[in-house]
Amino acid sequence: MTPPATAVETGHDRHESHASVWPVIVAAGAFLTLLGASGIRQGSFVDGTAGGVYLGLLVSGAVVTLGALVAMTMEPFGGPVVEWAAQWPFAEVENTKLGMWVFLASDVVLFGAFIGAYAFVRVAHGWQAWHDLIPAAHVPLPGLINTYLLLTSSFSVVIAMVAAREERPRVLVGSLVATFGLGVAFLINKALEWQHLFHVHGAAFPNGWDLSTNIASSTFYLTTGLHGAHVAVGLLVTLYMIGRASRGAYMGDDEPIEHFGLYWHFVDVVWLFLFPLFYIL
Amino acid sequence: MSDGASRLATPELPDATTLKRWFVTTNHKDVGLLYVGTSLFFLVFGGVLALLVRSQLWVSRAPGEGLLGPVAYNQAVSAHGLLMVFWFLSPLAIGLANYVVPLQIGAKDLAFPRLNALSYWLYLFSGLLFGVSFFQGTSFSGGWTMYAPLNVPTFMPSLGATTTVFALILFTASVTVGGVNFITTIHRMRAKGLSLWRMPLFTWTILLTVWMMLFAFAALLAALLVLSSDRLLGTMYFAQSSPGGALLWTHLFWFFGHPEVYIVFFPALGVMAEVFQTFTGRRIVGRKWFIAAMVLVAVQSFFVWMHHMFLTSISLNVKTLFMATTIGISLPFDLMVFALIYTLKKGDIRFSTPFLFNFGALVLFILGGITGVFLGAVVLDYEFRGTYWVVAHFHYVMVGGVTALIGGIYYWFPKFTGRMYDEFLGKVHFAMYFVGFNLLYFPMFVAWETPRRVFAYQSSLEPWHQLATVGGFLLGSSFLVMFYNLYRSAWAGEEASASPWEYASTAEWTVSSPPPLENYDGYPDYTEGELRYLDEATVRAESTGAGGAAAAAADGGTLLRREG
Amino acid sequence: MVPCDTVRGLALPLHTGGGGLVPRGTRVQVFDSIFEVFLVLGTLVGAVVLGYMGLKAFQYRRGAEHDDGDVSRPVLGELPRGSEGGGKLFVSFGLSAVVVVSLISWTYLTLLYVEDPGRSAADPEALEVEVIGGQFSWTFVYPNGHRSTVLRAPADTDVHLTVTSRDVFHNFGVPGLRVKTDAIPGQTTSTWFVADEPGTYAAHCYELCGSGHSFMDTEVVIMEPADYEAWYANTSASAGPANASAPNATVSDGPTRLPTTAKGVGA
Repeated sequence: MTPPATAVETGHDRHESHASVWPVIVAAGAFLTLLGASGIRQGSFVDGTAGGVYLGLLVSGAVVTLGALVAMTMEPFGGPVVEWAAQWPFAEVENTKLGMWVFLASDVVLFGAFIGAYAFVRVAHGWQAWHDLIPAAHVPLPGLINTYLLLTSSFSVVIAMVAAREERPRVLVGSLVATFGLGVAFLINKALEWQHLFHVHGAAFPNGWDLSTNIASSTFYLTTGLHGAHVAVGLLVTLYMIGRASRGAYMGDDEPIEHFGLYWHFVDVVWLFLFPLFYIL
Repeated sequence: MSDGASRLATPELPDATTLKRWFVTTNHKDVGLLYVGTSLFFLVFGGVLALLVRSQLWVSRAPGEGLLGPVAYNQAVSAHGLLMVFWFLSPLAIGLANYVVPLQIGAKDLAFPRLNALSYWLYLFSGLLFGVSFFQGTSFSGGWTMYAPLNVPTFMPSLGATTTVFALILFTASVTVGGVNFITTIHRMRAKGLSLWRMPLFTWTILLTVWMMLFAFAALLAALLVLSSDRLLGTMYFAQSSPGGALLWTHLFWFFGHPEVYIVFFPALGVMAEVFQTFTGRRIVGRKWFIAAMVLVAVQSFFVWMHHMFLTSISLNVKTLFMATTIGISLPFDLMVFALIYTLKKGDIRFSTPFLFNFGALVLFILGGITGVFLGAVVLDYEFRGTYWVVAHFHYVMVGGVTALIGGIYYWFPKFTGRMYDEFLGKVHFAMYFVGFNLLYFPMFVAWETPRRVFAYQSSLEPWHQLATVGGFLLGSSFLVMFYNLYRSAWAGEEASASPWEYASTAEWTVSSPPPLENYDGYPDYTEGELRYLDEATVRAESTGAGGAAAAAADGGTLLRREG
Repeated sequence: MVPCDTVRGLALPLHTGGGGLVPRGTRVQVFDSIFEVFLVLGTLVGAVVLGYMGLKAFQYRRGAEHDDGDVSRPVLGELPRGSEGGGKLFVSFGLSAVVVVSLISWTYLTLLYVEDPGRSAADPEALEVEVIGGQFSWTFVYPNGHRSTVLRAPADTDVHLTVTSRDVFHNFGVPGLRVKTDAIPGQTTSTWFVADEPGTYAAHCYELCGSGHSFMDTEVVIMEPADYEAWYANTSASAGPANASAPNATVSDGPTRLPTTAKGVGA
């Protein structure tokens, strides 16, 4: 996610890199991860030895992918430096930031398609009749709390960015830790909510309300789950940045924080759409 | 570096003759060649499957007869479609773009070279994942359109089908990473003076392609993630009992699927434009309108998807709307075709292999376009739905595009290798290819009453299917000629100069063949109306606001001279 | 009992295909007349365009005698630009746009005729049949509840089909009668046909639906109206010659109710 931001520069005599071993390792890790995950059916691995093999592939693949991604981020790599170029209409935006914008644009379509799919099946089922598919225990409060948690964390990222610009390391680390804490609180709150819903009892839902109960539960868990996965990825990046910041990085170099902030604000804004759709309407 | 970032050393780029080089390189030219080579591998993979399908269709068969059983046949049909559309066509175009676009716009590399390598490796491994799926019971067997609810475990329990879906997800990741990279590069790293309007047409088509890819593949990713969740976790989006689940899939898939047609075809159009200009010795007619037409198509491609669904339960009003947008999107192509044709006039046309392939591609595209108008008439579409008319039409369009891209391989081969391919063998390839193509696909129009994806059909149509099968094998074998020609010429061909083609005008021909690692010695610049390379001192002086362009030319800017 | 002359009288407006500018009539007549026009025009346009293209390519080949004294050729390293000649481009483009738009508009009028929602209201004698696709056979349900795996219908009569699926996405098509529509689980689509002549027509599935897709065929038997009436009078809901199940289909339930999914549904 974090593109190469550290060009190895020494005055005008910059050295551009042309080799890195990590891309092939990241891709190989992703290959193993997905091959492992293909052994899952109805939420658990297939029976027998095959299931164990698939689990092993999944775990080792995930370790390889994550490790290679971290190594790739830490590897000093000088990309091409742009200094004599026509750039309309993006002259004022540097490459990494534009890259992040473009990536987020595609993410908008991803969430747009998920929301569209939700609206489509809900209309097909009957917009109001939809409420019969949802247990009374599904209340807006956990979602509302999460809205506040995310909004606050968006604010703390902004503080982190300002702290980096003003070269105040303690404030930087503090606000990053706050962001991380708020994000973790978001996920814990969500986990509690899900646990509760999985195990609701009642005449309408004698076996709880889980992913396969009905189409309403499917859309709820999958769409908010995709959002939760975005939060989780953001937290991994935050953790990485806390590690670097605590060793003095980012002072006067707030761009990486800003790029992460774009992502984090986006995840926040998505939640502002999901909350009314899945908790109120 | 005060923190741990510099603990890892950046490896040096090994020599091109070592194997290691090709695993660690992030250079756009290396990655481009990797892309082209890998895509040709998947061409063979998908092509062999197609020949299996064509063999099965030699005569109408009862269940169990022929080379392939019913499930194997469905797998072959599905994998052929998926491999050709995803793992061959776009990657071949992206491979050419990887090599050529930075050179054409005057950039030293793509904006994020490591992400470029990552996008290649994700592509390769996604294809390998697809390959593995055949060894997990059966691969996906529901057609490349993967309609619901046939795609859920109730009807397709094989783990291999899940792996195929994952392969597509990994491919989508590759496309997204690549798209971000190309968009950033083309928007931010053009030589000074090279405004968007002035960009070479191949670069234009790639820019539009990657923008379409970015959005279309995001929609596909949504569909694939939902499908994965249905297959893995038991959500019920596409389950048989889901209200509108089957229709939801068609909407999501075709919202991606129609832009995908242009994603596949645009790069071919760009190659045609470049090759036509070089080999006719004429600049393209109506250049701005050509670009405007492409931009229009790129935007409108997201508003025509329901024309794939005319026989579903959508209402007449919606059908009318999408019929109108469909006709609307076909018209800009008329303009592009005429622009290419009028470029021939007053030309100094040389029928070398690249031009033959691109001229042939235009012929095929015109035939594909005319038969596409038939499908635009909804009343006719009702009857063509699910028949070989559709198969023949989209093969004329898509493989028509392949024809241009193959021409692109020949066109840039001397730039890639510094050597010339064998012209005679190139022409032999074209002759076999063009005859094989038409022998393969034209009979499908005649035998259009055959339903798609079946191997039992009206026996009166057998002669046509036999012609098509013969054509298929001829088309397939023509590639053996190409592989031999290119392989041999890469080592033993005649040496090629920086600009082996007369009238070639774009910037990739101004640097040596093959180009140096960082492409240019100086800073490419178009501000004077033609390409020149500025030295560092000039650029520094200009960036700090001192001196004008005239001064630049005087103190060190080297104007480029046309080579004899 | 439907008197013969009533059938003829109703059928009459369906058979005026040749006369008007907008093709009407049976689905076969509509398709044939439009397809023919497209084929002729398509061939003509293709021949003109490809002929012109070939001619110019031949005329302006290197070494041929042609005057190109004042033609400016692309130069290496020039800023990309275009040639003159835009006027001709727009004339050709305009011409092609007129041809395409008028052709499609013309067929749109026929589409309105084919899709006419007032059709069934106007024809109380029309036969309504429900078609249910399932891996890998078709079930036809008549108004009296009779079920069959072969569709029987009278000639010269509007036959309305309401089509759905009990498992995966299928597509029901009878090429000989030029009728086709999707069979989608959870949705219904409708279409119609009129058969001129008694006879047996083949029906196929036109959407890949699984291992038996190649063989998901059946027959449509068009009978003389009187024969049909006689046959229909002897059918009843319970005494169908076959129920919904083909040998390899396991679900056999009511025509309108969709089976619950075989997947583990919690509730």
